[in-house]
Amino acid sequence: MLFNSIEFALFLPLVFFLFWFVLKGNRKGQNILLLIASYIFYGWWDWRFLGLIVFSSLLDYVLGIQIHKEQLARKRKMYLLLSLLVNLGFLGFFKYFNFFTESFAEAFTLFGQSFEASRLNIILPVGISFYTFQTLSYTIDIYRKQLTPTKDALSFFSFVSFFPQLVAGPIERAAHLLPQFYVPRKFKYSVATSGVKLIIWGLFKKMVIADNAAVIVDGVFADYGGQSSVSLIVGMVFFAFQIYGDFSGYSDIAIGTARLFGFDLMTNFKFPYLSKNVSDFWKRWHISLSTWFRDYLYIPLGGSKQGEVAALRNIFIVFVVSGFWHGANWTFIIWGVIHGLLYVPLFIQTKFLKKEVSKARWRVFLNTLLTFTIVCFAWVFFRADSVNDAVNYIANIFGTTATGNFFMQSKKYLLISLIAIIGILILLFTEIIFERKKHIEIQLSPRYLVMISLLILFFGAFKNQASFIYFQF
Amino acid sequence: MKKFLAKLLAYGLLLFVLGNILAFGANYFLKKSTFYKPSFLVNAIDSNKKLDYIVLGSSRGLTTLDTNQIDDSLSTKGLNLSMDDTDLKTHLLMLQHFFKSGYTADYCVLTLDDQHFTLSSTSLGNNDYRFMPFGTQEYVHDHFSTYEIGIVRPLTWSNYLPLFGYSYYNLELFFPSINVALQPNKRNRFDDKGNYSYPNSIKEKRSDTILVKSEKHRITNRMVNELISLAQQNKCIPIIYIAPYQKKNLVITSLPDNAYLINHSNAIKTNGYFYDPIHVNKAGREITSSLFEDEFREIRKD
Repeated sequence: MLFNSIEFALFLPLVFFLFWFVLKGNRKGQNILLLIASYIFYGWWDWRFLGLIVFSSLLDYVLGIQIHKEQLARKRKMYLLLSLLVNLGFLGFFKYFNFFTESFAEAFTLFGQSFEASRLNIILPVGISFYTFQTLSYTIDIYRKQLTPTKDALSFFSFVSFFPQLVAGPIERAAHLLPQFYVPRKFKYSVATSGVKLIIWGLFKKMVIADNAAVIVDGVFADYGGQSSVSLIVGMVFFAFQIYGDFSGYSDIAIGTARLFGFDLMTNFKFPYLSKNVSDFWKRWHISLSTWFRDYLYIPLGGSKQGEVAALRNIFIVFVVSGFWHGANWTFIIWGVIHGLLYVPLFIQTKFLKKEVSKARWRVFLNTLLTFTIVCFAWVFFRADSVNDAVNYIANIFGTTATGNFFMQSKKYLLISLIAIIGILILLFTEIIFERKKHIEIQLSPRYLVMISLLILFFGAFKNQASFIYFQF
Repeated sequence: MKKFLAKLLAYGLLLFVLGNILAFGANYFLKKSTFYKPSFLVNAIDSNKKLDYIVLGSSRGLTTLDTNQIDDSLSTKGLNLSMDDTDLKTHLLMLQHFFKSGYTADYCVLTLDDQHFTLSSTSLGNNDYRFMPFGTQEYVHDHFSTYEIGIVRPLTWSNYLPLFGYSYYNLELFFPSINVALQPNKRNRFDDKGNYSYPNSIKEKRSDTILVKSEKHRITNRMVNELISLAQQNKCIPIIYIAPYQKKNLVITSLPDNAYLINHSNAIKTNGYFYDPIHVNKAGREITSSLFEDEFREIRKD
């Protein structure tokens, strides 16, 4: 079920009504409702994969208790390894099986040997990377004795499958979200209204910016060899806003929806395109994933405690794994490597040289622009079908003789480009204002809310709506 | 909770009202314009003057017969009402719109594509939204409610609340309405007689020899009968016209009664006159229109 679909527009009020009116004051009943609603929400795509979520929930619920109960370190470790093995095994099989077999076969051809890799026709369960990481954090935290396992199976199952953030995050930690299933809920006007405002802002980013930009991006990337430099730059910049509007839009709708039921989800984006450097960018982009990698990969690897070289190595590993998390393609790995390479000098500068970043206004502006430009170029790898395509795309920006301009190919595309640009300008204008106010969340005034809603109604891509990009991860 | 629901309702209503005001405005300008064919017919053509013939069809009807050329040659008054990317049910809607709007014609040239000889799709046409300014008319509303499927039916619901249609088809309806508010006489890629032509440039180099495939067909689509029947009820003589194909020779073995047939499926034998396998280019249109004139002259003598 898509957040921007008519099905969800009917589903959400129905669940809201049952939650607050029929089951008011009945915490257990509300949790049962959320669990059923979440399974319906997920099963709307493919009910067959519901079994995976149920199995994963059951396994981690049992293993969590076992790890906590067990006194022997060896056995505790074994339970944790079982959790890691099964969860990452599912993820590996569904997401990476074909990638590994094909890469393996290609590697052999380099040495003069060749064999045919048998490719399986595997369907990727929607959101598997998100809920796998969420359940993994639960067992790891229990193993680290940072969390006590729950004995409330209903709450745990509801936590794993909580529909607002099930398929594309934010990736929640059990310590933050799970306790919210234990406590009685009271409807709070301010929380619910802020939730509605976030949902509208998220829909604006998704339907006005991302889905309109997607039309141009798809056209430019499909024929990048025939596009002029200007068209390639338009395609690249539009993709930067497409993926931001798409993913942060989803996060906003997820956080807003959760608030309607009295739940608090973590902030996932903090105006990332206003970042002053790549390090700053990663503090603002997909925060729930970057903090997950910090806590469950970077720190276990030793963090920065084992010296400078080890710290740099660890950072680099985190970026590569982060890229690989996104998908089974070398393009994502290269994207991670690029960010790693850009991050390392900044890490050295701030961590070891203790050099302060200039706060002069013109310098901040230039740094922001430079960071955005670098991030845009890296996005080309993320979007391209292959590394070769990405390299050629970037090379063509600097030296192509092609004259095609997809965004001006017809009046329709020109109009779509114009709508996307208007949306992007409104987004940037709004974010700059709230950044200056030091807010991390957009708070729409009543008038602004009405204007944004009208823009969604008349500028939104209702007819050509696209699925959320991060569903594939 | 009460306060929250009250505010939600208030904002919802405000948006609904504002949205509908904008949509009604857009609908007004589009209805008064000549941008799409349904509005063009009503606003640019004098209903008191009888037409000699009209051309109905898809893009093949739109780009094959040049009513300006035919009229110059035969001293007739014709109008091309074809719309690209449409099929028989939209042609039927257009014919209903033509008669219900008070127009008459002696002949109705129905340009038939080979994929419509026996069947028509049962879903709404891609360009049927162009009739939305006339959504309050019973025949248009019936068309929308019959063919629009799914939970969301913006065109059907737009009968009295155009917000749905103008929001869903914002690129196709809302933005053009802004355009025509500033330029009321603007037309969407057709001339003052409803014609459009593809350019002469040939997309790819082709050999001069065309390998033509002969195919036998029967025209049995019940919608063709409905079109013929509607035309006859309005004293309009139906002519089934088959425009040229680059590589096909369609032999019609059976067709509905009471209709003339002009089959030009294999009339053009030079690649240079085609824009693509199913459309002639500007030069091809000139030749095809001339061939049509000859046959139409004979039919009129009958």
